[in-house]
Amino acid sequence: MRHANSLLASSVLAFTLWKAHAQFAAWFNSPYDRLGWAAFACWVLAPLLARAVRPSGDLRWLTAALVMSIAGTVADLSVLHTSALAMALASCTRPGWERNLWLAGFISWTSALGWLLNGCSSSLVIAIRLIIVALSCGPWFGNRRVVA
Amino acid sequence: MKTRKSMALVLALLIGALLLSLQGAPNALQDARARLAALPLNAAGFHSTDLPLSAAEEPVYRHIHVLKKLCAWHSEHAQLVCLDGTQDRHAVHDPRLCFRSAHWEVLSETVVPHPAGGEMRRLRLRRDGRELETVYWWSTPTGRHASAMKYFMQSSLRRLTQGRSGEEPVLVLLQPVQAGQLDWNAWLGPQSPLHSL
Repeated sequence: MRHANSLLASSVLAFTLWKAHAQFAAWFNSPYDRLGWAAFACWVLAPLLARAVRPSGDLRWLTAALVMSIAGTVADLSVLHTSALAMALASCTRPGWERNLWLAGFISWTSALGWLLNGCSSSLVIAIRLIIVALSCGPWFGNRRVVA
Repeated sequence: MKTRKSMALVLALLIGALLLSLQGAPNALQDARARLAALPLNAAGFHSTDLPLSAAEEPVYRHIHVLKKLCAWHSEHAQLVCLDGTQDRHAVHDPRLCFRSAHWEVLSETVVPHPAGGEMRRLRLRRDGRELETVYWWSTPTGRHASAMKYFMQSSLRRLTQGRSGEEPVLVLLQPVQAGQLDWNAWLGPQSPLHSL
């Protein structure tokens, strides 16, 4: 059962990664998305380094990720695809408030943040991205627990 | 048993999402081509000629219908750009982001009434010592607004409802050819062919 769950979680993760491809392209095309990839790298590595990753996916979060992805496809809305990816990733992490805070920090690597901060200089946008990453990932390291 | 059911649900959703994505059905929504084509852009006193897309615009706008014109109205010249994102909504960006990305400094921005009703956004821009004032708005046959967020919501809702929520908003951008500012009331007033846009 655990193997099946892991396989399912990996498939959902691969699917949501594919659907979020526009975000990855934006990091290298739009000045307001510059270094979004670095924010993503820090964000995604944090639970790995904090040993907060679990091998099987939380089925409720995987369901939410897929519903979000379907809505993104129908509405043709990229932010829903990036949210779906974030939820799929969150499904493979340790539950708790640290996860919720970390998940909220996904905004740090999205184009949506660049758009919301379009009145600021692109350097300031980068700084804000990295600050959000630091704040959202910090608690993983302050309360370490090893998950079997 | 509960886990098994939940896994079956996730698998069904995954297959559904995959099929929906691979379906690749052409966008059946009606675009705004006819509305833009109906504009009397060579009426009395008003003259317009097509402008080619720039090398930067070409890849971004390759899937959408674009009207890019050099217009003359009385003694003033302007560049008119209309973007109909029906076929690729992601090609239509918030113009403020585009200007800033193109190294324009936004000196000021104001939402002002459009002479034909609704709202438009007026930007004062500067780059390399050149200053100009531009206006933009999103237009449907029923109204005008100057909010990119509202455009995202309108166009998403339109896709969710298969076009039943209304027509596709067209982004209209008008700016002087060189520098300075135009008499917007004249350009968009009742005598102008752009009044209905």
